Amino acid sequence: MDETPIDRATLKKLLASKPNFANVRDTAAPILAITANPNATIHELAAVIEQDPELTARLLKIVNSGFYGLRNKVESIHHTIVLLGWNAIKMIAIGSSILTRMCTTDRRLFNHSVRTAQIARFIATEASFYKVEEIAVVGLLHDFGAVILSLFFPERCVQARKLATDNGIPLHLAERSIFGVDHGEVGGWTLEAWNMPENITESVSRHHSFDSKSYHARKTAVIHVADVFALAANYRGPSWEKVPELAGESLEVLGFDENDLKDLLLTVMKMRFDPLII
Amino acid sequence: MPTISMDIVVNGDILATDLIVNDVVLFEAGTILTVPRIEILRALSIAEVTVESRESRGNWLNETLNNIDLRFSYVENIPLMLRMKTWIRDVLINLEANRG
Repeated sequence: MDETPIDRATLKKLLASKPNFANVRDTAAPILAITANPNATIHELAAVIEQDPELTARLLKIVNSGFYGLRNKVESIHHTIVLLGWNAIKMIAIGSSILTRMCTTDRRLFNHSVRTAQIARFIATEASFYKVEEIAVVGLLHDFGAVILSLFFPERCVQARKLATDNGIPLHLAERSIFGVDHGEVGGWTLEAWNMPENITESVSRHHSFDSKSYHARKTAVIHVADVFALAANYRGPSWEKVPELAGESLEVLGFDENDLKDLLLTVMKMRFDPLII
Repeated sequence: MPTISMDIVVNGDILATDLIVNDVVLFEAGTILTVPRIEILRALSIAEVTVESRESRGNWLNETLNNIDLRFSYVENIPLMLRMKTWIRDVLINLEANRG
């Protein structure tokens, strides 16, 4: 079995060589282009999205699912853009096919992603963030890299799972032994290759290696805490899936103390995790 | 695993199978039916649910607490994580004690 460590350049080549990923890039390209233009309007973005019926249907399904809990049905892409925000739209344009794959092939990971997204939205609200929906979508795609790894390196992923199970360690640590990197970094590199903004790529890259001195530490802290909470509160989850350590610094960065942590965790335990239809 | 009418479901019953509505898993197996969740199911006109037998509740709690210990085993020597684990265990133990 190949034991070469994975790096940015290797991953970029793999992504370019896989037809499915070329399609993801091509489908998302017009949206990436328009969202990169600071003078573009919501009408222009809506017009581009509406040219892709599949993406239009998927965005409307997501915004109308229990995940958003809206009372009234959203029927226009214009309204969807206003509700979700530009970066969330970009993330979904890129990530929707990955989410569909996750939903059908790895239900555990999909459920964990939906839980993390809902918890991230709650924590971001408690920490007075402005763009909470954008953070929820980052939560939804924070394990994007795990799907990428399973697509390109299925045998090594099985090996990583076995290592984690045999040694009683969290999966991201086993991945570092097998691949030289964890799924967070792989997800961040993938999003970077698709020109996602740095605040999003960093939150995904560093959700298992939180650094309070990094430039986007606050947003990364939300995803890190939400990920640990989602695993900790899933008390019926598989026993091989180990809860990783919560970085104490992430709480400081968000302005929380231990009493806040307890209140947040107890609220999360009462949360109903709404299904996301994709 | 009895299938019972929603009329006799009580706070603390545990779903034995995934509850699927319109092809979507609304609540996973193992979900504790708290009062707000029961209200949601009634609002959705769900007629009956399959729950763990009430005699096996003690086993459910012990199995769940053991599972929590296993899931937290990697961080069991970290004081903050140990406290988090205790908070979660306490919620479940209190919920069990207050069941209908």
